This record gives sequence, structure tokens and C-alpha cells, in this order.
Amino acid sequence: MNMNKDSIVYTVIFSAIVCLLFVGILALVQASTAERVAAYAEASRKAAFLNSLGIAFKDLNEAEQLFNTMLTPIMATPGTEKGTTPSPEATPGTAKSVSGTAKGATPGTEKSVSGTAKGATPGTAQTTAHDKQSSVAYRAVIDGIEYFAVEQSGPGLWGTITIILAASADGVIRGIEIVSQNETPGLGGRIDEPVFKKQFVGKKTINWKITVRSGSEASAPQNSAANAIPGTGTGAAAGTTSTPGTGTGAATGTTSTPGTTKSVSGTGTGAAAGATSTPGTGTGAAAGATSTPGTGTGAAAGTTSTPGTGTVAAAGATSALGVSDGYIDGITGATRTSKSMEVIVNKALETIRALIDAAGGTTVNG
Amino acid sequence: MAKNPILKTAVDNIWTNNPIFIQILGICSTLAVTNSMRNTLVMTVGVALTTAFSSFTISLIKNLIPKKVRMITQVIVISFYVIIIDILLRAYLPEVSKQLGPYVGLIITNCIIMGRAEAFAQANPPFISFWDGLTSGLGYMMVLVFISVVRELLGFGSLMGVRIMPDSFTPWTIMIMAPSAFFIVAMIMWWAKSMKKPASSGGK
Repeated sequence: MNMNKDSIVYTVIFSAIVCLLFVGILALVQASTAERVAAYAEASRKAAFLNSLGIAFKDLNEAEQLFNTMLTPIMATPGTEKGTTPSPEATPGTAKSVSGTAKGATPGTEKSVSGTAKGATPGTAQTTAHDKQSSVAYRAVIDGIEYFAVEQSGPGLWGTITIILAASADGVIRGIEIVSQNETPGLGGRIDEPVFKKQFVGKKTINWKITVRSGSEASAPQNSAANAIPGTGTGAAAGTTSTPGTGTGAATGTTSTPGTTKSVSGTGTGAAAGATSTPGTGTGAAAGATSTPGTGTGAAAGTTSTPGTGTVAAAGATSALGVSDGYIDGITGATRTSKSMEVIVNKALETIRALIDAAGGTTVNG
Repeated sequence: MAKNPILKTAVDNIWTNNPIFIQILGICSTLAVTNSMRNTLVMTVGVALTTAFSSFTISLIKNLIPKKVRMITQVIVISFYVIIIDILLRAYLPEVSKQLGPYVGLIITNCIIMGRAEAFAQANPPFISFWDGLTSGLGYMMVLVFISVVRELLGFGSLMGVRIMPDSFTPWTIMIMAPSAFFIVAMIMWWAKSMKKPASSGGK
């Protein structure tokens, strides 16, 4: 009866019993609380959407009600499915967000799409599961203004960061909420702190992009938007649909195409055009939306344009930009996480822009 | 030294044999969490409770544990408590759980818990083992909270997330990073050992 405590048999039996006992209790507790945990996860996700949209609520119950009344899931039509892929640089992550909205409409695409999402962002399986009941993009009208909120995941330094970003059709960010992140606590993890998130509220984007400044960049104030977006070399930049001319070419207003660039443009070394154009450097020329750049150096045309005489020429709406537009200060000491946030936020912005385009709205450059 | 074993255990763990500046255990978490006071408090409370309960359990079953699997059994017990804390927090205090983030899981890796299980609970009855675990956690907490006050105040200019320093104060970025904890721990050790010198030379 009295078994030797150090015998193999006893050791094996003891280990088995200990493991079964402790793991069994854990499994039991886990299973009995799983429902609560899942319910909370869903509720806090809805609350996060409301937070990103700046809708105030007292508790999660109220959040649930507000979420159901104020937010409309966006369903893309099958035809626009492909069209909504925003740009050549669109990443699988973006594709996932966009396609999530299309699910109800095109069952055929569902499989391939979710496959991409899985490969792109491991660890978001839970989010993908959410898609079954809920779309990842929502529309809400607050005080007469239409806002779009999307959920977006992307790689951080240690794991996947999932955010919800809300913006209006004119490219102004409404707010941001961090759904989940595994960044270094006290460093990258500070992206979840109000100080960081508050910066996004009401932030104007530049061409639907923001830049997160980090390290020394963050402490150096940007004096003007013109410095922020330098024209590249002898090239030039232009409005929404136009393509920047390269080399000695120039770009024109909102309707120009690559093919026409050459013929329209002058022979100056740099020209900037259109409402949101970025300044060309060197011997630049700036032009209004409908104008044609003149030839030679320093020539400008159109009604609202300013001649690019010196090194920088700015035209149209660009000059209206404030000091910090499009800029977010990163977290001190967490350069990698800050840059990850920039990528994820820009992906989300890309998605929102695509949603607006798909909905037939016009994208206004901000 | 106090005769009462309960008092003696407490004094030992908090001062004479403090886990941080005498045993030099749990340094990894000291480096990681002490740049914010709130995180430090939460982490140290977690460690104290886990140490207490796992020491209690291990002491309870110590006569049944075969030598060969002694340590692995201790690890199972420790991780059991850590995971159960994690699950319960997630289900019943989700807000707290969200704030703690990865810290709860990190408690498993704290050397103090294993150290107490091995050094004390293996040879003592359950209740005094519980007390030993709890006071060890307190000794750990004391030192870490002190470090976190210094680091958060100088690194962020705040305490518990509330701004304390004037706006003109320039935060010391080094204080946010792990190396600063090394300096502060070293200075605490220096101070504690020089405080002890007269006592130990006279006592023994």
C-alpha cells in the first residue's frame, strides 16, 4: 500500500493527477466565463466605434443602444467591389476592411477575401469572426455631418494593433480609438493614452495622409505646410487625379492625366498646380486649377495662382493649411510603434476614402 | 531579532532578506514596469497574491510531491493561480484587466514566487507559507513603488498619471527607459546595505 514516493509509477501518476486537476479547474473557469468575456469584448468594440466618432455615452448599455441607432453598416455593391480598392499601394489589410463591407452583397468573394485577411494579419482571427455579424465599416451622421468609421489592423512592434478611425468626407479625422495592442507597456503602449489619441480629433489630413513625427522630428515644429511637403527635385505635384510630372515635366489641374502632362506642361524645371498642389522647388511655376503652366522658369498662370519665383511656390488650398495639419506627435521613445500607427492610420484613411468614392461621393482633398 | 515567527518572517522578507536588494530576485519586472506608478502597484499586488496562494498550495501538497517533479509541480501551481487571476479579471473586472494588459501573464515569470516556493513553502506549514509569500510580495512592492515614484516623476513629470511637475519641467527620457531602473536599484542596494552594516556586525 505504501508506495515509494520516488518510484516512476508514483511520479507518473502524481504528475498526471496534478495536471488534470489544475488544468481541469482552469478549463472549467474559462468555459464558465467565456460568455461574459465575449459579451464584454463585443460591447467594448461598439463603445470604441462610438468613441472614435466622438459620441458620448455613460455606460456600455447606453453605448449598445447608441451604436444600434446611430451607426449604419456600410454595404458595398458587387460592382464597386473591385473599384473600391483604393490605390496601387493598397495592402491586404485595407482590402480586408473594404471587403468586409461587401460580404452580404457578394457571397462569392467572401472566401478569398477573408483568406487574405488571415494571411496579412495573424492574430485578428477574432476580428474576422466578428465580420459574420458586423461590418467593419460604419456610417454615422452627427450634427448633419456624415462620418465614416472603419476598423483597421496592422503590425505594431510586438503584435497586431487594431484601431478604429473615424473621418468625415472632407478628410478631417473625427477621432481614433485603440481596440487592441500589445506594445511595450509604458512606451509604445502609450498610444492608448488620451494625450496621444486626442491629437487626432479634428485633425486635417493632407491628401488623406497623416505623418507621425517621432524623436527629434516631434520637437521641431513645422513652420509651414510648404516645408512639410517639398516638391521633389525638378518634378511637380498636382491635385487629386492628376499625376505628378517627373523630370522636366510639370503637372496641371484636377483633370489632367499622365498622357497630357507632357503636352500641357511647359519646359520649366518644376511646376505645381491644382488646389492641393505641393510646392515645387527650384525654378518652380505654380498654376491654378484650370491654368496651363507657362514655359520657362518662374512662370505662373491662372486666376488664383501665385507665381513661383523663388524656391517654393504654393498655390490654392495649400496655403490655407495650418501649422500642424497632417501631423501627429509620436510617443517619445517609441519610434517604431509611432511609425506603425502612421501606417495603420493611413491605411484606415485610404479605406474611408475608398468607401466615400464607392458611395459616389466626391473626395475633397483636405 | 523578533522571536515571534510571524513577525520574524515579515521583517525578514521586507527588510533583512528583501527580495530585491538582498536576494536580487524579480529584477526583470523591476526594469519593465516601474516607469509608471499605477502599473507598478497593480503588478506588485498581483505578485504578492500569487506568491501567497502558490506558497500555501505547495506547502499543502509538499509531502505528496516526488523529488523528480518538484519544480515542475511548483510551476504548474504558480501558473494556475496567475491564469485564474487573469481569467477572473477579464470576466468580472474587464476595465482593470484591460489596464493591466500583459502584466498579469508576466507574473508567472517572476523569480520571487518560485524562490519562496522552493526556499520556504517546501519546508514549512501552509499558513506561515502563505504569510511568507504575502510579505515577500510586500517587500518587493515597497522597493518597486519607490523606484516608480522616482522614474515617473522625472520621466513623465507625473504620478499615477497626474501631472505634478510644472510645465517648464523637461522630462528625463532616460528615466522612461529600462537602464534607469538599474541605477536606482543599485542606489537602493547601496543605501540599504550601508544602513545594515552596524546591525549585522553587532547582531551576529
